[in-house]
This record gives sequence, C-alpha cells and structure tokens, in this order.
Amino acid sequence: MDTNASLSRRDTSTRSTRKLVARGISFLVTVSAIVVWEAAVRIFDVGEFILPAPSVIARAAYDEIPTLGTAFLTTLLEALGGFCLAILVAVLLSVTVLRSRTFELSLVPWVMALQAIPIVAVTPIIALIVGRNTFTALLVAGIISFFPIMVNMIRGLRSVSDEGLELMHVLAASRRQVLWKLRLPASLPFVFVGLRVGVSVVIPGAMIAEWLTATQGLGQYVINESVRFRSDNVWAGILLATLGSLLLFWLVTLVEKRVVPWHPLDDAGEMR
Amino acid sequence: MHVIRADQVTKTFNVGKQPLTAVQDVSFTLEPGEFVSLIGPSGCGKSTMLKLIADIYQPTSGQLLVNGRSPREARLNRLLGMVFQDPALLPWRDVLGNVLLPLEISGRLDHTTRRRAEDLLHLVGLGDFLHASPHQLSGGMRQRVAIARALVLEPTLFLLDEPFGALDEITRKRMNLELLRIWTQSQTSALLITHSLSEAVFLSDRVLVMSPRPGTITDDIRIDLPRPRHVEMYREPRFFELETRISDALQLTAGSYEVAHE
Amino acid sequence: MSNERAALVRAGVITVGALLGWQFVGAPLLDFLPAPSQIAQVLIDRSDSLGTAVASTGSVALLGFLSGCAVAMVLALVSLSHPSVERFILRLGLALYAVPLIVVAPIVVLWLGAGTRPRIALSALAVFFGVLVNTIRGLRSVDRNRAEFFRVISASRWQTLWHLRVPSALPYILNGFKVGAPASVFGAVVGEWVGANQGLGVVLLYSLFQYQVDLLWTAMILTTLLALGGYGLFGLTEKFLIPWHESVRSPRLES
Repeated sequence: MDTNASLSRRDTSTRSTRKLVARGISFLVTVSAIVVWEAAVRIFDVGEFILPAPSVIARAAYDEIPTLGTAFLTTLLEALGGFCLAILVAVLLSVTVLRSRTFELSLVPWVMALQAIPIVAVTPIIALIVGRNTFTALLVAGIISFFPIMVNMIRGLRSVSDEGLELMHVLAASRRQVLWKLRLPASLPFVFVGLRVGVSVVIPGAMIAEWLTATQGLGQYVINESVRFRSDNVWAGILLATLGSLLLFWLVTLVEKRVVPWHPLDDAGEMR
Repeated sequence: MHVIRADQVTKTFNVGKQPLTAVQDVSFTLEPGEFVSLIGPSGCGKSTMLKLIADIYQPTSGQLLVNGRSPREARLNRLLGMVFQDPALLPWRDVLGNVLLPLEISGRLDHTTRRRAEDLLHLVGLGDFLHASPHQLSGGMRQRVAIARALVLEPTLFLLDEPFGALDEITRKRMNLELLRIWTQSQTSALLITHSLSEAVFLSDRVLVMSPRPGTITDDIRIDLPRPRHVEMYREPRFFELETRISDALQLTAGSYEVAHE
Repeated sequence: MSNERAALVRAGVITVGALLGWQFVGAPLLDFLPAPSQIAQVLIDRSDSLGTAVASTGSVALLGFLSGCAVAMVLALVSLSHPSVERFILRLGLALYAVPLIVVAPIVVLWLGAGTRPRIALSALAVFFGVLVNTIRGLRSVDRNRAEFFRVISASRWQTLWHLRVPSALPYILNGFKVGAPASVFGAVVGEWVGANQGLGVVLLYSLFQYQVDLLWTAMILTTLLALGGYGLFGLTEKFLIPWHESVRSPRLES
C-alpha cells in the first residue's frame, strides 16, 4: 500500500492515549473480575473448600504474614540465585561454543539432550545428588531457566550479518573486538527473549524442588496447607507465587528497556 | 456501457485525528476491451484506486461503477480478476490447485472449467509444471500462475497491481510480452498499476497519469501504437515520444524530479 | 570441510570417552551415579512394573494432551469471532499459564477428587496454553495479499477459514502440538505426585525416598523418552503435513 508509510507516522500520536485507555480498561476488568468472584462465591454459597472468596484469601494472607513472608523470601532468593547462576553459565558456555567448533560439537548435543529431560524428572536426580535442601531448589531454578537463555544467546551471537563481519574484517578487528563490539551487542535482544522466558519459570522451578524435597519455601507451604485442607492459605500462596513471577518478569523488562533501547522485541506485548 | 466508470471518487483514511486523503475527485472510464495503465510515483494513491475498484476499500464519496454495478456486486458476481505484486499463491497447493481455487470457491469447478485451468497454464507456459509446488518456481513463474488464477473465472475486468514490480528488468520485459499475448486471447478489459514508463506505453491503449497528495489524475494519454505490439516497437521514435510525454507529465505534476527515480 | 570433519571426529571421541568415563570412572566413584550397564539391568529386571508405570503415565498424558488441544483449538476458533473475544481468551489463557502448575495441582485434586481425572486435567492444563497461543497466532498469520485475493474472488467466511486460515495456521498448530506433547507428560507426572499409586511420577518419588539410585535414573530416562517421543512424533508429522513450509523444502526448478 502506497499510503501506509505516511499513515503509520500519524498513528503514533494517538498511540499513547490509546495505550492509556487500554490500561484503564484492563484495570477495570481486573477489578470487576475480583468483584464478580467475591459476589459469585457469596451468592452461590460456594464452599470455601472449592473456591474461597478474595476477601477470605486476603484475610488468610494477612494472618499468615510471618510464615508466608519467610516462605516467599526463601523461594524468591532461591529463584534469583538460580537465575543468576544460569545467566553466568549460559554466557560463559555460549562464548566458548562460539570460539571452538570441537567444543560446540561435543557440548551442544548434550545440552540439547539435557534440555529434553522434563524438569519433574531432573528434580529428583538433583535432590539425590546435592541432598534435600535449599540448594536443590536453587539448582533446579537455575537449570530450568538456563536452556532458554543459552539457546537464545547462541542464536543472538550468530545473528550478526555478513556485512557486519566483513566490516570488522576490513577494520582488522581482533576476535575479542568482534565479540565485544559486534556479537555481544547484536545478541542482546535475543538474550533478553531468553531471559524473559527463563525468568518466568524460576519461581515454579524452585517451588517444584521445594515441594519434592519438602524443605521450606512457598512450594512446601502450599503443599502443607493443602494437606491440612486450608484452601484459603493455599490460594494465598498461589497468588503470592504468581505475583512473584510477575515481579521478576517486570524487572527483566525494565532492565531490557535500559539496555536494549534500539530493538524492542515485543512478543509478550503481542499476546496481550 | 463502461467497464469502469469513476465519477469524482474520493477516498479518505481516518487515522487518528487527521484524515488523510489518498484519492481525490478521480474520474475516468475504461471501455470494453481496453487496456489502461495508471502510472504515478509511490504514494500517489494508485494502489488505493485499484483497491477501491476491487471492493477492498469503499469510496468516501463519489460514484464508482464496474460494468454498471457497484464494485461489491461486481466482486460477488466474480467479474474481477486480480494479480498482486506478490503472487500470493497458497504454498500448500500445487500450481494447478492454485488455479482451481477460484473455481472451487465459486462452485464452478467441473470438467470444462478444469480443462480451462489447464489450458490457461499451458497458455502462460507452465504446462509442464501443473503439479509443481509454488516454492519450486522462480518469481516470474509464480507470477504467471497468479495471472492464470486471475483469468480462470473469465473476468470482465482484469486488475493488475504492479504485477512485475518485484521482477528484474529482463524478466519483466519478457513477462510484458507474455501478458500481452495472454490478454489478447482472453479479450477482457485490463487496468494496470505500474511505475514503469516503458511497461505502460508498451501494454496500454491509454495511460492515466496520477500525482500524489492528494491523489488525482492529471493526464490521460492515448497510446496510438498499432496492435499487435511487438518488441521492435521499443526502438521506434513514437515510443520514445510517448515515454517522454508521460515522463514530462509526471515531473510537471509532481513539481520535482524525485519521481523520475522509479 | 576437512576442518569440519576433524571437529566431528574429535567431538565423537569426546562423546564416547564421556560414556566410557561414566561407566568405568564416574559410576564407581560417585554413589549417586549408576553406570549405564546398571540402568540397562534395571530396565530388564523390572520391565513389568516399569512397563505398567509408563503405560499409566502415557495414557494419562495422551488423554490430557487430547483434551487440552481440543479445548485450546475450539477456543482459538471462537476467538476469531471478534478481536475483543480473542483478547479475553488470550488473557484468560495467560492468567492460567502464569499460575505455576505445581501449585494448582493441590487445588485440582481438591476439586476433582482422587483417580485419574485430576491427573488428566493437570496434563490438559499444561498443554492448553501453548496450543492456544500457537493456534491463534497461526489463524492470524494470514498473509495480507492472500486475504485480499480471497476477498476479490468473494470467498465466504467459511471458505476463507477452510481454504486459507486453517492451512496457514497448520505450521503453528503443529508447533503448538510439539511443545504440548512433553508438557502433557510434565502435567501427568505432577498429577501423580499429588496423588496416585502408579505411574512414572510415583516411581520417581519412591526411588528418591528409598534411595534406589539406579531405579531413579531409569525412571528419569523413561520419563524423558516418553516426553521426547511425543515431540518427535509431531516433528515427523510436520514433514508429511506441511511439506510446503520453509522447514521442509526441496530446491527450486529452473524455468
């Protein structure tokens, strides 16, 4: 279409207001969903066992602040620790893979094979190796977030154009310079795709491990409370875990906006 | 009866607060059997004009008739055949399957029409590729499939939206010859959107020159080269004269030389 | 090319070396690591009970996969009716997805009671979102030119859906299935952890708590193979169903 280019430019002026309206609507929808939930539970007299009302959950969360708070912090720290570990290992490995073809050929198949192991099958093995403690949860969170980061990082390091490499060649850049000036910056948008996928699974990963090893944290809390049939507490735990995931995801997006302003990869926005 | 009758057609897009007029007060006619080209720089609204005729957009004001009916009726009665710059073939169907699609959609698939589809493919020189996949074909071959697909319903009006814009100059010249041959046999009327001067002159009976912002028709040039046309005509002085005439019209109307790049 | 071959040979040597090292050095030294031969032994000795476990988990995963896909695809079709409907469905899906499966598991068991139903539901839940997002994305992925072409030949809504949207969506849908197949095994195992008396999840838990190292590793490998099996199956299906897609293409003919 001939006119599209000039049309879309004008479009941006109204985009911000439209975004604001969309936000307002989604806020209203969320609030009314909570109201409907509360009302439905009261009107139809749903047993607390099946679905507790929001007010009941809030009450439970308030009462449980000491236990729930400790559990949440434990899980959050495990998740964050695992996430950082995953980033560190992924960065080191992908840069190494880039340098040595032998290393790549002998390592990548193993990484792929390991990736195929469902996390529910990995967790018992980790628990077996490091013992049933907090460290298991950290490792499981790390492993589960490692793969998307690694895969995307390698893809990103490879995403540089031939022209870019030729330019570096003409400039007689060293390997190190090509890495720092070209490959790493080029990989950032990809890395953040991996980071966003990875960060959204660290809390669930840590919780699976806590649950299995029955040590501490939100996973263990939720399972304990469900055994005691305290569905209000279970729901409070679930909501807190979800909030934690959203918080971590938001943090990554925030960092991404500062670090990669030139390439807004907006696939999460597309889903909304 | 005119095949196309456009009377003061205006199309305004509402984008945000400012309306954008893509086409303003365009009037022209296209007679049965005529080949007319719309030529103009990028953004002059020629594609919009074509999409108005194809009932992809609706005019904001003015009247547009295709064979005496509204574009919508014309479309629903399958009077239109259209070829896009991108061949837009369906990759999951083979060459013949793509040409049969309009027949299936309109419920007109039978022995005769199937035969016609095969004949058309022979006509466009793809007789040996009936069961090839689109992705196996070159750009020019794909566009020929798209032409066969557009003609299989025997349309009254053949709409071509820069069909060879993505092809290289050599393939383009060859496709122009092919198109001319096919069009002569099909006996439909044709409206071609292009920004190639020689293509417009070589193919058309008339060339309508459009200028941008807002898109209006500024000149209507009759191409008095005799038919049938042949390659030698590219070298005739009359051809140059006509090309120059269009070129002048384009530059005068645009008020600058930037248009000459296309 | 010879460089490539040398690298390949070296990689092969390293891989074989790693396996040998595992069998003769790693396994004897590390008490949590059984040798490959031990794992093979367990597979033979316990083939009956392990077979039952695989069948149990596999059937739950299959039912979960089928129901998850069915719900997701129906919702994806419904979402075509209006953009706001689509937004609502996607948001609902996202909300369901954001809650970790592991924490919904107890709730689902509270709701559906004992038996296979909660396990199937969890498996379906694990599959649901990936298939939904992929199907919706696929149905929307229709190329603009092709859509305009369908308009010009005045195809009906259903004709456009059947001849254009669904085939365009097929690669995406298959991708959703590919992602969904291992997820269904994941969901089934999580379900078994919350309450079941057979299945691979039960074997995993039992062997961990009984410190039966070789059995644990065997169960892990079987779970992995089950998950991979589904993935591979749809990988193969792709080759047959969408030979026109970029992933599986033959070279061009010359004109």
